[in-house]
Amino acid sequence: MSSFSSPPAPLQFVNCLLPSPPASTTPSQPPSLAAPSLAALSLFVDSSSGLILDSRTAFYGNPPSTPVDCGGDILAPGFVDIQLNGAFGVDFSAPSLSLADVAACSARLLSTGVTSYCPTLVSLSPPVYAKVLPVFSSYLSSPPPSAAAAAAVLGVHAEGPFFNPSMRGAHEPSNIVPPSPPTPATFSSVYGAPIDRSPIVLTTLAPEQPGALPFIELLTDNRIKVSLGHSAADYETGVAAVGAGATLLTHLYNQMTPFHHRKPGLIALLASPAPPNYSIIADGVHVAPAAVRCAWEMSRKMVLVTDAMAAMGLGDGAHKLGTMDVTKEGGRAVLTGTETLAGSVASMELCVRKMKEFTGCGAAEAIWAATGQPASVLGLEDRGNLRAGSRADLVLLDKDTLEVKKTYLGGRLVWERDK
Amino acid sequence: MRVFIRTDYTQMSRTAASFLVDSINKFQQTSPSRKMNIALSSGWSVKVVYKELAEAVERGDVSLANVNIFHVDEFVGLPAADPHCQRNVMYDTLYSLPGVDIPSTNVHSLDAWAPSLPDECAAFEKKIEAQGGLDLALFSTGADGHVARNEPGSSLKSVTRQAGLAYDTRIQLSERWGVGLDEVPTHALTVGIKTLAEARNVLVLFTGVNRAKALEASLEGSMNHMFPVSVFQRHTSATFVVDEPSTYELRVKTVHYFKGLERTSGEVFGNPVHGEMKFKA
Repeated sequence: MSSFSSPPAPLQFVNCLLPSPPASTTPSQPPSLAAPSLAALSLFVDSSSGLILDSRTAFYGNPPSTPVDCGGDILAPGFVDIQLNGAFGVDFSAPSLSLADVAACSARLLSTGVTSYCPTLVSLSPPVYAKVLPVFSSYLSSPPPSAAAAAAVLGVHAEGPFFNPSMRGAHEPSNIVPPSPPTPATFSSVYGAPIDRSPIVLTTLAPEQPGALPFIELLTDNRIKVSLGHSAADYETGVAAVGAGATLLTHLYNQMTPFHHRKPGLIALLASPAPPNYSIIADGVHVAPAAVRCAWEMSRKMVLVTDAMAAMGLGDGAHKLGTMDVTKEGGRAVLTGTETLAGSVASMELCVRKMKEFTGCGAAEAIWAATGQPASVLGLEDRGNLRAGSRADLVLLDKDTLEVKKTYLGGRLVWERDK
Repeated sequence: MRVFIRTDYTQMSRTAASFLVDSINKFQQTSPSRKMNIALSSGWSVKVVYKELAEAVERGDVSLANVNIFHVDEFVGLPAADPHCQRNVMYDTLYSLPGVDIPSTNVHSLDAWAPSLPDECAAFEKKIEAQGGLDLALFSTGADGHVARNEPGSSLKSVTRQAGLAYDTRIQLSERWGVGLDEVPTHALTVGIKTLAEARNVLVLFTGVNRAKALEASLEGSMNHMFPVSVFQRHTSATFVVDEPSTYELRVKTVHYFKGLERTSGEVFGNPVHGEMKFKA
């Protein structure tokens, strides 16, 4: 169980390796200049305000900082997971979802190194959205006391229901609808609340669906980020969608038309003049290692997501995802009785390690893909990085294995691996 | 007095850095009961020395975990966040470099924002004494032979105090910082010449042809308050590390003498740089 230690502010994390951010995210810059790296530097944190301090000021600050020895390990920003359907037995798409469920899952996520996340909903029917989304609205507007020692909920990722029906994957076919007409009325009739009062911050949709392009503009105008996925769109439609405001591709390769040399599809957007970010499930199950590497070579704007479902963190056996039955076995979860993958059971910690292994990149780059890059997709500057003024949500990673050893929220230790 | 003449600024900085590294390591072997007390100055002359030191720390050749660093000066009147503040320059050129493992509590800067500057100066002297006195002082000097912010005419027996900056010094700063003269401080807190002279070992850096006159005065001239750095003629363990251009005003004989001495003492003592350092447990 985590020990809730509160040493006096401010703290100086010493004997640690800090990942630096990339110098630039333009693909045209040579990797050696743009690549983030690890450096042995101190980090100053004010555990009463919960923020990272400017090192130069804090170094000479009064009162002087209390040193916290990191044993030579990597001190990274806490992971940001923008696609998580559930974990530790909690399914965010279940109509019976309660505030306590969200609170419990948020607290347990700390053990995987995630300190901020987007609870993700699969394609649901309007009555179920109307039951589930208000739970998140309530959690966001008046968080329970336990939220202070739990991963932060950033807002809901609505993965669906505006998909291409043929690319729905494990989603319930009767829930799939087109975004037509592309109006606020369609939004509220599906999601159950007006567009300006919804807890949704990110939507995945298929841009080739009728009404999709104006719908992307509508969402973007209302500060909801748009991601393309569960789609058979061609490259030109993809370009138009990015032009309309889409900034992300959801789980690259999965439920996306494969690359064909005369019909390159959405995957080719990675090398386009205005490339979007792209999320990828790097668990080694959803995407072959070589394909992860191909994506990395095409574009460094990779965002790691777990796309984890309720069984993540639990043992093998039968579990529920939305209205569907799934079976978990080792590192895989399938629709019971089929070979269709039903979401992953990977932790973000595992994805970071696998991505590093598959791409051959440095630890700092793998860490950025799980921290700074997803935070930038959501337009968040106060987390996912180690800048002065950002939240001191941190993870201590083993410098060789990248295993999560400790998790900090606002500079306070909230989880520690049992030795 | 030992003088080590190096071809250029980079070689000079390397010698000074290796002197620093060797001193710290030797101190750790002889006096593990207390921390080593080192006075350091900031400025562009010492920037490369600190960079080399940081690299040595990162390689594991030396550790700063048991070292107290005392800053020798600080400008009065600058905002605390100004990058020209001496303690901020020290942070940028040494403490913030990757791998430098010095805890912030081991760094003692002169607080030019304290409510009473005379009290701050007196307290600084007491702090040095309480920690066991300075084991090493490393600093560079200017064309006028100043020592920290002790400008020519400072008493050779001066202690830590607030001192006025010379007009020429202020002109130089205004040029270097790219600001108007009225934005340059008029005073600074500085350790005294006596404070540094009481350090058990002293290393002074002379860089470039415009230090040539100061080097001539302090090596070949007599002790003279118009070249404060000449006070170290009286020091029992003083070392000058200089580059060739700074020797341009010296007699050929002087240069040959010290180069020859380095060859001789190199053979006798092994490491030609620190030979007999003096420490106290």
